[in-house]
Amino acid sequence: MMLETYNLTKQFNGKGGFKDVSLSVREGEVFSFLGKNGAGKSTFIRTLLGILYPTSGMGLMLGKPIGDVETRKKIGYLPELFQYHTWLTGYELLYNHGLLYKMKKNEIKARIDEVLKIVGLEGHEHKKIKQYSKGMKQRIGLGSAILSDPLLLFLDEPTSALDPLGRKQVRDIIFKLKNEGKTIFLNTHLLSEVELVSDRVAILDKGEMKKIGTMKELLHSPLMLSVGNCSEKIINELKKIDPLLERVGNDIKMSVERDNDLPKIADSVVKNDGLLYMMKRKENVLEELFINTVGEEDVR
Amino acid sequence: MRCIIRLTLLEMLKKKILYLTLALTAIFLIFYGIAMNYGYDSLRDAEPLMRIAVSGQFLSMGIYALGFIVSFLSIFASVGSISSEIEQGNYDAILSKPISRYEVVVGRYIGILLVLIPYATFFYLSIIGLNLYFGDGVVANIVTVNILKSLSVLYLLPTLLTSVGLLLSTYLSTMGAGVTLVILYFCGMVGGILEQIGHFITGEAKVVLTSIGITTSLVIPSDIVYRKASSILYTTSSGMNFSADNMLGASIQPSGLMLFYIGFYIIIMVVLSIRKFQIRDL
Ligand SMILES: Nc1ncnc2c1ncn2[C@@H]1O[C@H](COP(=O)(O)OP(=O)(O)OP(=O)(O)O)[C@@H](O)[C@H]1O
Ligand SMILES: [Mg+2]
Repeated sequence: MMLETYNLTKQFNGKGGFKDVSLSVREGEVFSFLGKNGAGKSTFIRTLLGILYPTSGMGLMLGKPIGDVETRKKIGYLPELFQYHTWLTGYELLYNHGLLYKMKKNEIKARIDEVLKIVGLEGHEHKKIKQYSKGMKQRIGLGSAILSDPLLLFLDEPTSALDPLGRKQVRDIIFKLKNEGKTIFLNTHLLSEVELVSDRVAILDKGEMKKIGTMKELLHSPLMLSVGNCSEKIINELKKIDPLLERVGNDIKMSVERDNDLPKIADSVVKNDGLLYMMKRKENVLEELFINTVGEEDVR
Repeated sequence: MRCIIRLTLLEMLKKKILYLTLALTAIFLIFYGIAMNYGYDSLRDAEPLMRIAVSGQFLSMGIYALGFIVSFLSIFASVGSISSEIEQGNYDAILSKPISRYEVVVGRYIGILLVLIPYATFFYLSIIGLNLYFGDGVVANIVTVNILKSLSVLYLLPTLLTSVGLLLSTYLSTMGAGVTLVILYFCGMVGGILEQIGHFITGEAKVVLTSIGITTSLVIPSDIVYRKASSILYTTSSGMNFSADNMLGASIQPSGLMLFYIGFYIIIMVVLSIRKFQIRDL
């Protein structure tokens, strides 16, 4: 386990923060933490990193209790508001953060060139961070987070300031790191992003963890069919796969767990003289799940 | 810790604080030098007693300005040392790396002193140098040993004020810490003056003024440090103290015991700063 928490709680004078969160993050997975503004996502990460002290409960990171200084050599963190050391240039920032990571000088220099390329800031490294755009700041922050080639990476809304291209680049970085076996803990409220990159998801609401599971477990994304000439025969065939399917006129909604069943379904429609106008998995399921879980009332 | 010190120095350099301070100090020294040049010239033919009195004033004027400027630089540099970093969210970046909290506090403290101590040395030696150079033959004999002794006591001034600023900065916002330390500093100063006045009066008033003076010096001994440093300087080889007997002068020499107290005080301030920073949320 890269990260385990047991009833971890952080509250500010009995308010805010998060309560009794128990979860574990496995090696090599992308774990997404979902929640509205003020749900406690950032507080959770900052507590794990020892910037805040937990009120109760405990946590282990890379097998060591949270707050262990040496463990942080192998941890990367992109805070949600990048606003530090803006009087340095991008290069100087990475260099000094490398020193904070206790990396060797040559190692830092070599790594800075790689990192600048990865986050797409080549050519901007000698500008003061003050003069960076919001997205560039987020990129240099990401650069600092991956500088030490960490095993476990915490990204707090890494794409909040990025343009669509930047978002794709960050996604690609996440995929690349995942392929290298790194573990990524992602805070976000961008559901589309979560759907694209995550292995597992937890939904946090008002500081409490409401749901946790793999994308598959959480999202039985139903299959939507539109069938002309829809006969009882077709429906009976389809009920063999999902006995509980719903039908309204030509529209059918059914739950199909295995993708292998999809060609079979198309077959049984066509062979029984049905006209298959449309067949697709429902989109935005995560959004539905999210809204159903956290409700639509205001942020606290 | 080294990288925290490094970042502290870099910050002063990059934010141009260092250049600004040095440039303004140079301007100050130029004006002071010109004044010394003409001032000492006019004294050459004066009565010996007058010469000693006025040359003492020249020197103490410079030392007085030095004490003030070094004090205020220490205050400005230290009151934001922790709080401004919290306000800027810097600790999200720093403490997520393998750095202990005590390293942050000690690193900030050392970083600030690494600028203030050389600065105070330069400023001090410039004032003495200008007086010795322009006042050649006029200025009463200042003993070299005393110059060095006085300088080393003077080092306690930034060391002390920075330690108090550091502690306040771990509890309060930069503004709050700044206001508190400035007021404390002036309390110390007024207490020092009251103690001196108490020296010349008698009766109940003497007891009250002296007690107030002693209490403030225990709470914030910055004024004592300044007075000790100047009184060492003004002591001639014959042991006579020629400092002018004005309210800002140094007619009472603080005891050596007080210096011990101050050393202890500084250590306590730093330890308390570390303790507070270690337990607080950032
Ligand atoms: N230092 C603090 N002192 C007091 N309350 C705090 C502090 N930090 C966070 N909180 C409270 O804790 C709750 C969770 O805040 P947090 O920043 O973790 O939310 P979040 O899920 O990251 O929200 P967002 O999506 O807006 O970033 C909020 O109610 C907030 O007001
Ligand atoms: Mg947040």
